[in-house]
Amino acid sequence: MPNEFEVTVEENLVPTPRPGRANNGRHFRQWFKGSGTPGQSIKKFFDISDRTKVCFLQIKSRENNTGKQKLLMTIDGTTPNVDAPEIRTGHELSERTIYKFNADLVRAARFSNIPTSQTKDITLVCTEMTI
Amino acid sequence: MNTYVVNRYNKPTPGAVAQSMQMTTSDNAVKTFGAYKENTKVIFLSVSGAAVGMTIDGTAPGDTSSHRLFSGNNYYFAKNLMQNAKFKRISTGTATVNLYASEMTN
Repeated sequence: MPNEFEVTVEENLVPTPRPGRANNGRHFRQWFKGSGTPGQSIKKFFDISDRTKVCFLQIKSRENNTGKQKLLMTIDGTTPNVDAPEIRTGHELSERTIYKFNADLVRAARFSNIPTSQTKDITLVCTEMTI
Repeated sequence: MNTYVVNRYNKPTPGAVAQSMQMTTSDNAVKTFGAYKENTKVIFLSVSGAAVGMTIDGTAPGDTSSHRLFSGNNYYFAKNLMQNAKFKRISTGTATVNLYASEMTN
């Protein structure tokens, strides 16, 4: 029988795919215009299930994952500023990294391309997970 | 029995506005972020442009006497740590440092 003063620390380290979802979770894509001289495009994920707790985000592009393509993300309701670095706002997300975020964070997040550095079309893939 | 659950997937602090900090190549000042919301637990910090030095012991960051945070990386820090954190551009950097900090809670 556990001691009444015993403390158990639980960490949810490894999210699992949403039960009942095909392909280890639900994937959906939002394309950012990348050819020619693209302008700023703001995207959100509106359709994440209420039961989803964690989202895996990953950038994919036709750059063959060289790590060059980036996006900016804000989570405070503001729009990412993609102008000069001196006034740029947003968290920089890049290829080669799987970002693991709370689903509520992703629901609130706004994603923007960075037109001055974008050279390829970018796909931001979101996989819904539970814990 | 007591249970302490560590939430590794924090969500945005309601009402909190992210803070940003820039340091041009001629800016050698030691800088700190402003106050955070009371219910904020974690700061999500992104570094872009160039590396920056950070200290949390009250001393001024130097090139060789600080934690070096590299451009392109994201960091999670406790709010208490960030309240004591001081930042300074690495002197050899050739681009503007851009720090962007969002507040998170459980």
